[in-house]
Order: sequence, then structure tokens, then C-alpha cells
Amino acid sequence: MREMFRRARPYLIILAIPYLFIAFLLTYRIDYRITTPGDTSVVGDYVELDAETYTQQNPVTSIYVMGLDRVTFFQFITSTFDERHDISALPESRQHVSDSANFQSGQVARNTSIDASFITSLEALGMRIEYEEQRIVNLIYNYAIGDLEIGDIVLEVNGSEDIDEALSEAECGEHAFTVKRDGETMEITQERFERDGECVFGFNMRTYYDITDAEVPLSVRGTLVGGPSGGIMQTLHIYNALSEEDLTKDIRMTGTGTINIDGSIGSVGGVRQKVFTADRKGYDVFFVSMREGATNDNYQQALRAKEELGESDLEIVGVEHFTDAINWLLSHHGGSVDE
Amino acid sequence: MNDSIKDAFGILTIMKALLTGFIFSTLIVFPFLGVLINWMLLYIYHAYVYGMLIVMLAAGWVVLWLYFYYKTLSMYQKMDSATLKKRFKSDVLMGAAIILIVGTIAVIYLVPRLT
Repeated sequence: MREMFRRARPYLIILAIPYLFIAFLLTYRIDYRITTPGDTSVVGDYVELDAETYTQQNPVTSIYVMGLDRVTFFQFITSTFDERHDISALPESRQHVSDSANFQSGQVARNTSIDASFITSLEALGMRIEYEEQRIVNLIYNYAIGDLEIGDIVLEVNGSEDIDEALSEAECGEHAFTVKRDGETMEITQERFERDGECVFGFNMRTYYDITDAEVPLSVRGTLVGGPSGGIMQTLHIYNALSEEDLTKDIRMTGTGTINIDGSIGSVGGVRQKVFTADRKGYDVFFVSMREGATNDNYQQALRAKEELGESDLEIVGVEHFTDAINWLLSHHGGSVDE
Repeated sequence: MNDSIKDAFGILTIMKALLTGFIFSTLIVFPFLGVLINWMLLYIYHAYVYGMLIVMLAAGWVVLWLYFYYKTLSMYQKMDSATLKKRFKSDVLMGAAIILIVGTIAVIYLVPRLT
């Protein structure tokens, strides 16, 4: 081996500097975020209903983009040459989120979004569904001190079931949490500590709907894609699968927007790249959240992205409520519109 | 491992040759692998293409590893060139074929399930 190295030494010395430079470009990460066009997923492939479902002529698909946090120099340089990519400085708060926490957070958001879609569609169809509203740990910053884990359902804080109030009133110091983790209830402690002149816990929570009973059982298959932006399309899929009349017919549709259990659609990020993706995949319709007068309205963002595309057959449909999408589809097929 | 080689050079020599092959092949393959992984994350909609390129690169890695392995072995003791070539060819064919088949199956199976 020594002989091999001895023979190759001149070449190794010459190549070492550019080699190390390339290795640096490929591995060193900087505090920037890049959003790139992604792909679409057939909702029925990861959301399965254990019941008799009706045939859909075209599958309902959700759409995702790649949001890369703390990119490498190489990715940064590559993206500056691609107009479809958006580059932005990573917000200070996101710099304290590990890759693992980022992934888990996306999975929690995705799963809670699927549950919200399920509740919304079953209620819209008049089917039986019972659930409890709870608070789930959605994100933990790497400076947090304590035993909480992403995905923990917080049942009590310092003996109080009013979680948000107990957290806001908590002073700096250790606090007792009762959480449900993997179906098991446990007592843990989490510290609220001083950081930049204020007392912080260093975690975020979101609302989680614990479905206790449903007329139709639901199962969800795991994927690497996370986030809540598939809400509207998941709701449309479940609604359509359990409805006798097919909403899709000849339409290839996709879209983006979070879903709340009252059926309203919330805004999301990466709309520009999602429009590019939908156009590339040849979709007919793109449903997107619409909030008239709001800054960064997703609908307006989508229209601007379509303008960038030039000639495109993609139709952008802004919706405020998931029934807006259903009504649009029914009217497109010449059906009756439920006002 | 071929018993005759083990007998001729001893296990330590074989381990040295394997390590040399690993270091040299890894040094060569690493930048290409880095570029492919970086690009794959940026252009996820071409995941199949990049997945297959990574599989081919992995096959190339095995070829290089075996090349340096046999090169090192031949430096420790003169080996019959024809025998060496024959062994190298058969090992390369088998190694690359296994990587290509297993890798292709993995890409076809994993990509749609992960996205």
C-alpha cells in the first residue's frame, strides 16, 4: 500500500488542492434555503380508506416542492443559474432546527393535515366521525432543554389542561408536562430558560385531531414528503372516493393549500415552483388558496407563475373553501352547483 | 476470497490490497457521488435518472476497487498476467452485475414509495 501511495504521491499532491476545494463545495452548508420544483403524488397511494370506494376516472394528486434548508455551496451555485429555483436567506429561527427535527416536523404536519382532511370530508358527506382536539409538539429547536420530543401529544402542563395558557404563564425554570408518546402516557420535564432577554421553551405546537371513531377506517402510508400543503387535495380525494358521482371525470387536477376542519383553505409556500411542476406534468387544473387582499396571496402568486410560463394550458382556480373546488368541478361537468 | 491467493500472499496482504483499493476508488468516486446527490436533491423530479446514475457509479466504484485491489496484489508478487486479467474480469463482471441488478430494483422500488 505504501508503495502505491509513493508512486501516486506527485499526482496526489497536485490534485489535493482542487480535490479539497470540490469536497468543500459539495459538503459545506450555508444558511440559505432553496425551493425547487418537485413532483406530484397520487393521494390514493398514501391515503387508504378501508371501505367501498367509487371509481375515479382520474386520480386526485397532491403536489410537493423541495425546500432545502442549509444548502451546500454547490447547490447554491447551481440554483443561481436556474430561474425556477428560489433562493432566500434562512430565517434566524430556522437556523436552530436540525435536519432530523425538520423532517419529523414535516411528518407531524402531514399527518395532522390528513386527519383534518378526513374529518372535513366525512362531515361534509354527513358520515359519522368523532374526534378530540389536542396539542401536539410540532417542532423543537436545538437549543431547547428537556425531555419533549416531536410528535408528543401534550395533555397537561403543570397540572393544567389549558396548555396554551399554562405555557404562556410559565416562568423561567423547570416545568412538569404530561404527554402521550407512542400511546403511552408519561410525566416529563421541560425547562423554560432565558434566551436573548426573554424566557423561552424552544418548541412549537400545532392542533392535532385525535380521531376516536369513524364510519370509515383510514390508514396512511409513510413517505418522505412532509408538510400540510396537501390538505385540499387529500380532502377532495377522500370526498370523491366516498361519493357516488365522480368529480374528476376527464380532468387531471392537482393543487395546494392547507385544510382546516371547517373546510377553509390556508396558504402555503412554494406556490411558484408548484405551478411549474403542475405545468410540466401536464395537469389541466391547479387549485390554490385564495385570500383576497392578503399580502402574498397564493392565488396571485400562482397567476404570476403562470405568466412566467408563457403559453400554458394549466387553469389556475383560487378557492377559499374546499366546497369551492367541488362546486367548480361540478359546474365544469355541467352538474348542479350547491350554493 | 480465492484460497490460492490467500495461500500465496496471506490474509494481511489481501486486507492491505482491499484497503488500498477502497481508499483509491473512494477518493475517485466521492466527488462524482457528491455532485449526483447534490443535484438529485435539487432536481427531485428526475429522481429515477439520478438514482440510476448513482447505481451506475456504485458499480464503477466496485470496478475501481477491484482494479486497485488486483493492482496492489500484483505489486507484492509477480502474478501471471493472463490469470490476473481473467480473475479481474470475472470479479468485475460479477460485482458490477450484482450492484446494477440490486440497485435498479432498489431504485424502482424505493423512488415511488419515498415521494
